[in-house]
Amino acid sequence: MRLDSKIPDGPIEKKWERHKFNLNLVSPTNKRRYTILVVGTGLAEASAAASLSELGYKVIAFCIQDSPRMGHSIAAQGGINAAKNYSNDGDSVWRLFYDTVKGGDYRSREANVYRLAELSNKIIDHAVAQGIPFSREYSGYLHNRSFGGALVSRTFYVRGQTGQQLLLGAYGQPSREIKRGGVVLLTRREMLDLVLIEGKARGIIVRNLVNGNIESYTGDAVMLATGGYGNVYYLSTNAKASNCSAIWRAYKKGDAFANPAFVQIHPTCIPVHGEYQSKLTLMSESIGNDGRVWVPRNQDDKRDPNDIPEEDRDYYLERRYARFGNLVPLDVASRAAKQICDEGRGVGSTGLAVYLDFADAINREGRKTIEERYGNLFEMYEQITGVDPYREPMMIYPAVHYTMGGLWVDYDLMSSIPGLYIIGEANFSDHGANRLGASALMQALADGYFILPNTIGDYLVEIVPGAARIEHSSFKEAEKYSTRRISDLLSLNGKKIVEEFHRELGKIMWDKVGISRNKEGLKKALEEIPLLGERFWKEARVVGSGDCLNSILEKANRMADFLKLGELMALDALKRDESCGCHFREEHQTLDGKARRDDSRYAHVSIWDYNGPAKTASLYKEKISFEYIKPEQRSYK
Amino acid sequence: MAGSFINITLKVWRQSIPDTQKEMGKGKFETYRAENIPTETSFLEMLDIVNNNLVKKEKNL
Ligand SMILES: Cc1cc2nc3c(=O)[nH]c(=O)nc-3n(C[C@H](O)[C@H](O)[C@H](O)COP(=O)(O)OP(=O)(O)OC[C@H]3O[C@@H](n4cnc5c(N)ncnc54)[C@H](O)[C@@H]3O)c2cc1C
Repeated sequence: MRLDSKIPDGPIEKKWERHKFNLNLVSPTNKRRYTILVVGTGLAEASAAASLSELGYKVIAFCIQDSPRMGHSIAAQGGINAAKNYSNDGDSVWRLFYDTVKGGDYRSREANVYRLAELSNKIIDHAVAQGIPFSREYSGYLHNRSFGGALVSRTFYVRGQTGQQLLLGAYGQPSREIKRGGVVLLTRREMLDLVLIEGKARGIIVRNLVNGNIESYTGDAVMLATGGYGNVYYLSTNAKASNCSAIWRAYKKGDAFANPAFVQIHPTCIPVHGEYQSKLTLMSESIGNDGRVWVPRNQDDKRDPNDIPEEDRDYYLERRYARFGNLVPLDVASRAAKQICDEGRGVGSTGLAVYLDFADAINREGRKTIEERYGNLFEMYEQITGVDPYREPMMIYPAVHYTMGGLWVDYDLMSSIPGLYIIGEANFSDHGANRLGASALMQALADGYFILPNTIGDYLVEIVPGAARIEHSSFKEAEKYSTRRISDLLSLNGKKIVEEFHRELGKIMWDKVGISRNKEGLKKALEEIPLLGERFWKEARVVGSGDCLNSILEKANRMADFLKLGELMALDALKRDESCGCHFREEHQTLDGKARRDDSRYAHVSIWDYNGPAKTASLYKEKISFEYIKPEQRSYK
Repeated sequence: MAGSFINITLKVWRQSIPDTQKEMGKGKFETYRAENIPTETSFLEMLDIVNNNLVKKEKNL
């Protein structure tokens, strides 16, 4: 397996510039001879497709939705980080680098994170040039707010709709390229398989979701930007169409999967209600700038929140973390909420919620200001819960939100399969064991606008363009496999619908591979998930046919992969016998309940290699070493 | 209003193939009953419930 991280030599501030200079370039007139297949149309893909096409490459983009404007990135609310230091509060590229490495609990590569921090400023310039309507001060300067894990304000935002606005901007660029003929956009296509010829990524198989056709496409390189796999838990803040199938099928073709167990659980989501709930809704972390988290001091206190006086409230984050208060990193806030609820001090009808109160901010700043900052979020909250958060505290509870794990990539964002690039949330690259809020958009756009367009040429220059043919036996085999898979799924004639299995899987994952994990639970999960998988293939019911739109078939197809990925996540969590970031192993905690890392044994990326359905995957390790930042016990007190 | 249930009558447009320039996809309205729907359920979740009940009842919709 090709696992050279290709981190360039030299001082960290010079690595990226030097590396770019050392990369081979494809000449401007040759670029049009190369075709790049790009899959999954969120921010990472939109930014890459536009940039590649503007460089002169031919791009074919595959979109699972009706339009790339519905890509999952549209959901992002709170903002995007950059080290501009507009707030004049001591920020710098170095500080963003430091905060990100520390926030990730020292499980990410220094060189990658430094580059990300360095590129962050260019993203803002680029987005402003596109006309993204970032929030501004009265003076006209861009306004910043704070996000967790940082003592500076470096988050740029468009109300609570940052992802949507960035996506519209990013998608405007490929739209122009579509018109020009540089990008061919194929909508309602779901990738089913990756095709390798002589070990290199040379094409993909997709299903046309409207007529069911299995289609083959050849390219000189393939890029996956298919997002995260949080939906393995069934309930998450991710869009319903977000799934793991593209990266999972690549993994089955021999691509390396890194840190699958690193999953972020976001503290500020609307609590679960009722058994039919299909997804969870995030209330952006940005509201921590003005909201205060609390529960009643006394667990039997059943008064309305507004009737509970100050002295009977426990602002537990402010009490425990005086310096960061309500803006501790996401993993710390989530665990604190779970602990409080486990102690029986949770609120609401299920006891699985804590209050997030804006009364002080409204008194201090006035309702109008709060409305300007979070108006759409407050409205969304009221529509979902029927409670007006301007009058009564919100109720929130942690929910699965983001996956730091993903396909392994080197410094060039190439995976272990030559010619296969992974960008955005789908890769494992920059966030270690915990992502800081507002850093995912930054990474998706750094990958798509600035990194991949520079690095891909170095690979392509060695490739004969257009050499792959769909008549090749690898394509025929992959088509056959995909066709058989669809017919196997269609033949499922049991009594249970797919969602019932998905909910069951979600429950196992949430209980045993969720906010906190232990050896016994993980072993149990490793017994339960395969049994659930067996039952799925016997008892599930898939109706309709394969030659038309069939959402039940689509769900079943994704579900079969989630089952397998869930197992790998549990295995990875079991083998990482330490706590770090979001991966909290109950056996490894400090006296005050913090994650205790074990750098001597686990300062590495865990990389899994598929060994076929009957054998356990093999584990490889990429050592993480620190030259510039000294790993220490994270403290946000 | 947690804990209460409602019944809803739905008129759903059913059409298995899209309209093309040559041909209309021949769709029609059908009536369904959504019964005992918890009030905290969203509209789309209510449709999930209706769909799942249909899936359980018949092989080909
Ligand atoms: C509610 C919410 C709020 C967030 N807020 C913020 C924020 O404020 N700041 C921040 O930095 N980050 C935020 N994030 C995280 C951030 O939005 C994502 O990490 C980021 O948008 C991922 O971008 P992407 O391009 O990598 O993937 P995505 O935007 O997930 O796009 C991938 C697309 O690929 C599609 N796809 C999947 N499988 C296939 C397949 N087999 N074939 C074809 N297509 C496929 C998916 O449906 C999806 O549309 C938020 C996330 C959520 C869920």
